[in-house]
Amino acid sequence: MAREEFDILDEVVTSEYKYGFVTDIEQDIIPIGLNEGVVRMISAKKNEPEWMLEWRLKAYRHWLTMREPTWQNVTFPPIDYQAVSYYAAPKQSAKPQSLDEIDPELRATLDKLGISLDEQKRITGVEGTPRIAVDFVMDSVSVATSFKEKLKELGVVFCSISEAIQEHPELVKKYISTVVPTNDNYFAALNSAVFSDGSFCYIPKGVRCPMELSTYFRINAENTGQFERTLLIADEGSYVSYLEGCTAPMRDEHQLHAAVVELIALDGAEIKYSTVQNWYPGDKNGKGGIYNFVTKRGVAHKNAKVSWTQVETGSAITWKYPSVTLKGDNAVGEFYSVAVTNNHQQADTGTKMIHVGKNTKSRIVSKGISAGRSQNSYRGQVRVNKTADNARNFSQCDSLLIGDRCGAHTFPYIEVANTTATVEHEATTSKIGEDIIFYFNQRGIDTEQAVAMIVNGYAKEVMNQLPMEFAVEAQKLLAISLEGSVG
Amino acid sequence: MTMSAETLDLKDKCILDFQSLEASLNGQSKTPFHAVRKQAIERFAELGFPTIRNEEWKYTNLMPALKAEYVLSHGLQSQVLKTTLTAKDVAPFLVPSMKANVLVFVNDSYAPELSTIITTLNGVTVSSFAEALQRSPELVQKHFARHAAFENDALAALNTAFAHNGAFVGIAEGVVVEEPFHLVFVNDARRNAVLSQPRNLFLLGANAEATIVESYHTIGSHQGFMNVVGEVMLEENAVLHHYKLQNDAENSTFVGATQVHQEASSVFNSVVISLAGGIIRNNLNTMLAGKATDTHFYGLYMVGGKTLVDNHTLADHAMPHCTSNELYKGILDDRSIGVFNGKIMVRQDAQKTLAYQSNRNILLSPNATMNTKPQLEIFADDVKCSHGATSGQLDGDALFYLRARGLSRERAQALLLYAFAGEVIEKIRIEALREYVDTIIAARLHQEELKAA
Repeated sequence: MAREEFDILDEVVTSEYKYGFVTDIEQDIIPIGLNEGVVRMISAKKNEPEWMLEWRLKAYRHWLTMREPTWQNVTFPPIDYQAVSYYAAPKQSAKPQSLDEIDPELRATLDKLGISLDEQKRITGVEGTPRIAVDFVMDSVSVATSFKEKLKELGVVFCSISEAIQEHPELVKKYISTVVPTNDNYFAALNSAVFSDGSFCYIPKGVRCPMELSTYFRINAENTGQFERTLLIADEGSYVSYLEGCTAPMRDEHQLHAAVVELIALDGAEIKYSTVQNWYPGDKNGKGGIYNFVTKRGVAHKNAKVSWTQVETGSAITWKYPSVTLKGDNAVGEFYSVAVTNNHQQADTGTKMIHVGKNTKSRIVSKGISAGRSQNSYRGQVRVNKTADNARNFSQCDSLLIGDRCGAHTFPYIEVANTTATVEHEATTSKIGEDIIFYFNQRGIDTEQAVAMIVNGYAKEVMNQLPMEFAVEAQKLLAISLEGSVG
Repeated sequence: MTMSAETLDLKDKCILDFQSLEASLNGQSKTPFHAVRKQAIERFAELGFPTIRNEEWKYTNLMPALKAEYVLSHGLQSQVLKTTLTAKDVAPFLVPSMKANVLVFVNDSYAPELSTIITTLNGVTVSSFAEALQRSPELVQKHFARHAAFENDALAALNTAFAHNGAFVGIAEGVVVEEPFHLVFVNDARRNAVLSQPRNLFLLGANAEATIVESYHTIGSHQGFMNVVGEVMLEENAVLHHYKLQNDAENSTFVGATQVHQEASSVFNSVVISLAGGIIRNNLNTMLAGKATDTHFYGLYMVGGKTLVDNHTLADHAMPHCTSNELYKGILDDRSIGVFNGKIMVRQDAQKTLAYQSNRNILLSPNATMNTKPQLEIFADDVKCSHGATSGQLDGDALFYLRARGLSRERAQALLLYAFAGEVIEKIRIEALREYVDTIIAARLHQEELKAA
């Protein structure tokens, strides 16, 4: 185990943002700018039905009436929404059938992302041992989805959302924007208007999805925004574990990523949603990087469970609150988060747990780590409505400070309107003790390695929630993100 | 829309009143003091009364309280608001057997005939704010509006604009005053609704020590609105024990800001007890501007009916080696609403800060609500900060334990609540005051018990 950790650290010490390459792939990009025509064009490119276009236009018109929020604890220069291209897609004639048929550049991309040949085959649906089904989204367009057939046998639908709009319009129509309404917030409205693709997943009644479902997001093209939309429906009594990973090339200018994720756990269903977010964070001086402004929300019906796990190491600015509405009785909501900020990164992240049903439970574990000149905020809301008898919440949010130029902030909102509720909130902020570092040094471990190990231990409670394959990668990421922050 | 029209009324009225007040000032309108007041009314005009869209007022809606036809207490209204209160009227507001300097303010004017000063030490100056301004304008101007910023606080701006009456307590270097100063603020709303705005200034020199008790009361059936701002300056090693007692009528609205400035090694102990009222909003802020200061915030709110209690606190750590400790506890019954927003700010230079905060609440009624927002903002790394918040009901195990020993459910509950409140009450250092609060709480719990049984 120790050996392995050292290997990881070795790797770390020598690497910077290793996903910062650009894939020189032929792209179909529409001109920059946003107007009703662009919304229509995206809809037309996707060959969408009339109701979908109407839905988009409604969102767009509402977006026009909205103002960008200003309450967040992050700062950035105003975004010029007219300077972004709202659609970029790798040019492809048809879905690939074997590895040889895919664009070699795309294959190279997958290679560089560390997706193994086996996984590549799986992604492209060639063959392989079933373990993870991946939907690969590049510049907002789903490139490949693996294991479709295998999943189909069980009745699981896992495909890109544009495909779902064509093939399962009844499901999409029934559930889309029921959790995050199109007018929910500024970025959700924008996303609804211009989203170009994303993942769709439906698990039928009583089915336990046999493999991890995964989406890999990558922004590639310049001057584009990524606006994907994920809709995940777990029907009664079903179970699914879903993973999401993100990377982007290194670029000097900021890029906007405004996704919407909606989770619906019907009676007795369980959804586990894990994110390892590693968008390009910008360079040491804060130049470039992704603005990650995402709306994620799940609704848990009777006896259902929605669990969010996130490891946030990338992005110039991370600003998101994966939330759960505990609508049905006995519903459970969980939020596990590690957010690391270094250099000039900013994060304002947390969760909302809205207790509506009786005997609902929620648990929040948030670990913030700030280094360099970064600012890291936890913002969370726990609301117990009058109807939520015997609701129970436990929240813990800890912050670790590395260096004296960074900041850690906590903004919890606790609103209780039921006498039988029990809500607990704890937060601590501290730095890594000099005595602890000394202990490591004494044993021949230099300070940087020591910090990486301490941080890994500190974040373990959250890391343990991640599926195995992701846990290893996330551990590496933690170390990379903090590289250079000590000494 | 009608709502905002109503608000405009009081806002416009305040601005118009200011203009006529200014016109009556003659030479005084040229003083630097008045220049600040003028800035304040301009800022108030820009800000207007806060709505729930304002993050600081998210859970406290002042709008209904602004609808009454208030008479603003200031110089021009002194005839209208002339008090006819006697010592008998004020007697219920005093703390029995507390040997104290009592200063009574009616509609924010100092009422010397109702007040008693017992301290005769040299170096102790107690007077109305207006008198202090007249006697030592430079001293007052040095501190006036220097600590309590009104840039983003409409009510502080409004108070600053009309600043004239209130209390002044000055303790010279090295003087230790044993007897507490009890400041009794009374709104006489028997004839009309009153908006009074006491302005207090407490200055403690190096190594000085004092105890101040503030209480607020409304008489009469019209609406009473009290908008208080107090500025406290603690020089090196100064110690101030500060108590706020709020046990007012349902037709009262109280907004009070206390802004403390602490120099090195000074100590500020605050206990805020809120037992009844209409709307109670306390802003308690301290700026830890010197090294190694010590700050304790304690609060207890135990309310029923439709009372809304909103406590906003801020411990602003600007220098190293400071300690702040905060404990606020709440018991909410009936349709009452509790709000707690505790902020700990640790600035970049404030290394070795220790800051703790805890907010614990018990909801007794299905219609009561508690909104808590403990908040940490930390910019220094070598610090230990923590906060905790709980909202819930009495511990089931503890209840069971007592019931197993033959106590009725009601008795057991009363006992546990009494102990819950006790943790804050025991922080009151003045024995007479502690017993007074204790008796009120015990009596109330006993009543509850009888009612429930």
